[in-house]
Amino acid sequence: MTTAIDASTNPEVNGTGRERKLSTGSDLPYRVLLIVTAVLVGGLFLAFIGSIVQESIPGWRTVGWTFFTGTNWNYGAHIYGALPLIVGTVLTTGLALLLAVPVGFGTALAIVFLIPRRFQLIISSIVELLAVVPSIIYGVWGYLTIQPWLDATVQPWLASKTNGHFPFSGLGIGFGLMLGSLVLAVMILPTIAAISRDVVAAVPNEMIEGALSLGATKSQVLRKVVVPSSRSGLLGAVTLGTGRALGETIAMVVLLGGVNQTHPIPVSLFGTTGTLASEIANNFGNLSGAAGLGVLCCLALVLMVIIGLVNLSARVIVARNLRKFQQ
Amino acid sequence: MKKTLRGTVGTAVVAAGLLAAMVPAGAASAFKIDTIMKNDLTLKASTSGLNMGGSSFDAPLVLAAQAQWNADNGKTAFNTYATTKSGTGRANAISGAYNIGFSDFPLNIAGADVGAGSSDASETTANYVQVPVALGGVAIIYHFGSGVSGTLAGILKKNPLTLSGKVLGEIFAGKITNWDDPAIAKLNPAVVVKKVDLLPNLAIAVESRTSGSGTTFMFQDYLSRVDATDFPTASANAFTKAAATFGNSGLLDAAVHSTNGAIGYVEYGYAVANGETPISLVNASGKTVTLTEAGIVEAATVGLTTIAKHGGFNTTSINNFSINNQVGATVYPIAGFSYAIVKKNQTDANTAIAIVKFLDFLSHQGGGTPAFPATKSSSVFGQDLADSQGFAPLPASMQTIARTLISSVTSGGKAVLSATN
Repeated sequence: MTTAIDASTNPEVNGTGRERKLSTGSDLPYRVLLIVTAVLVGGLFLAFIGSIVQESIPGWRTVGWTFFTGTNWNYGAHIYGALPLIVGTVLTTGLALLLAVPVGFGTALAIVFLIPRRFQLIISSIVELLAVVPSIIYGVWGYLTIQPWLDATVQPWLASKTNGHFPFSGLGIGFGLMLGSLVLAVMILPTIAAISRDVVAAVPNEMIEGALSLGATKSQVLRKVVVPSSRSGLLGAVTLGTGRALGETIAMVVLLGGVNQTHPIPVSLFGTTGTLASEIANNFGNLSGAAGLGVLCCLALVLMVIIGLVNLSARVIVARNLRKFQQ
Repeated sequence: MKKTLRGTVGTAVVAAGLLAAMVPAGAASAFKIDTIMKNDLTLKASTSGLNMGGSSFDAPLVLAAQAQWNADNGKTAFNTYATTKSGTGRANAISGAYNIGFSDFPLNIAGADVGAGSSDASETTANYVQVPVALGGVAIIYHFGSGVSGTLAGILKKNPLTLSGKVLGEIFAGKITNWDDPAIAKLNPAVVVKKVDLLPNLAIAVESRTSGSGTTFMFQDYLSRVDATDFPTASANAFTKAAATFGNSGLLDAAVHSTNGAIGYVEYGYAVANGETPISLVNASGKTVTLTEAGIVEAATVGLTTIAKHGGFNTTSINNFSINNQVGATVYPIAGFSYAIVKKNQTDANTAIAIVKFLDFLSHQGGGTPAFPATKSSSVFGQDLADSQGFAPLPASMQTIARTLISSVTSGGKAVLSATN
């Protein structure tokens, strides 16, 4: 508690005008309460990261650098090469974004600018509803409905059209990268669409009307005014979608088919793979003792770092955009 | 089914007689039910929230037995069996997350679970009791899908698809990659009509369990006996040529069903539950056998005599518990026992009572013989449910061994089941 009060009297915290405005005597309890919660969240975060790092130390001792270079993950033989999992995580998320971002942005723009007002609410509600569907339900849907369709119809067709060349080489069995990214795309699409909709809807009408009055066509307005001015918000939507995709676990466990031992790094969209998150779930009950659980924490730590990097780069881009905008 | 089963169980009992001699002498004779009763083995009302799980091979049997046991006792001491895989069963039995962990092969058989080389060097297998609780067979399942002609479907209905151990091994080793391979047609003369192989030109997709599966171990132990070139040793690792891997039997079963050209393997119970016709196998006597409960019983009967030649049943070496690839006209060649693993010295006496009672219930048949006082009212015990769940009842000798092992569980240094009490 004392540290919290110390923090409240910290000149740095009190530096800005807004802070000073709040510091009237009767507000003190609120100030203390808010700062305590802020400190609590910060402390929790540090404690959480700290404990994962600490737990992972025996894991690093066991695996060393082969963790990042090895392509064989076999807990039974105590071989822990996590490269296929890192690649699998990045690939599934990347492919999902490739599919979901254009459709998500398109849906958002359509809802705000093109669809007649009475349908807007219906489409908006559907998008919001899809955004809150738990991921296991998407997983089950992918497993029961999409996999047999890919296996029996889509993949044989793709293979015959390309003569089994890249990126549709090898045996298509439905499960794998294609199924995983497809379902992942459907999963993050509503998140991206819902947030993008709010972002583009917030573009000031004056700007749009100004552009229209200068003779811009509707598509020019969207491309030159709406999208550029809401860029940082759209990036936020993508970042949230990326976060969900990177961390998606249970659906990936059932859809990706596991790291293929002949091609640990997929060479085809038909290839099977695994992700950091799915492998943590797969191995949770299998690894025991400090070293075994340590290896799981290594996976967790790498996943945290990847998600952290995504968030950080999003922040950097937003900050740069903001500077440009202000100039 | 029932009648033939009784017959074969009869033979099993005879064979069991031979084996009874192998059970440590003091143990077998000391355990008369009425003397065991001296301990107060009442299941306390406060005993609840205990955990068990692991092997998905065992799941159909244990889930059915658990439901029966709960109904008989009028209370739920254990949370519902967690269907994961054998590796999880062993790891959680060691960590204590499960009070009872289930695995299709014992500790330290495929890789170090405890002691040197494991992540917990301070432990030894002597700290654990490993009780045989199930006898099952591995069903090889496949799926051709929509591309199959009506003629072929008709033929396969009358003549189930047949494979030899060697061909099965080569398929799982990725050497035979298409269903129209001549080696497969050769074993299935009925599908060759007017010299044309009706089996589809369809790539074989080997679907495997993720590493740590006891079903995989049982299957690979079999393959190592029929195709040593491709499978020099049994392991629980995923098949290296697998097109995809799945975390438990249910997922693998469903995946095989939805993938054209897929082949996979699950415990017989899954095949029974889903009404599938597993692939028939050519056994060690050169006879083609379909997977039936009688075939599993026969595998155990012959298998136990083989085990006797190796010095009797124990959980320390494969040849002392494996009953794969036995010789006999009606033997189904891929079968095995599965085990419940518990800590030998239980810290909590009431937990120990629940564990001991449940395991004894699970590993025995009720019926006429006075069984351990797990339940008062019911004569249906765990092994009586084997028939309906796609398992075979444990042979009588194995039930005896199970009881001996269960009675070695202690609490506070005292046997939970004590002849002297």
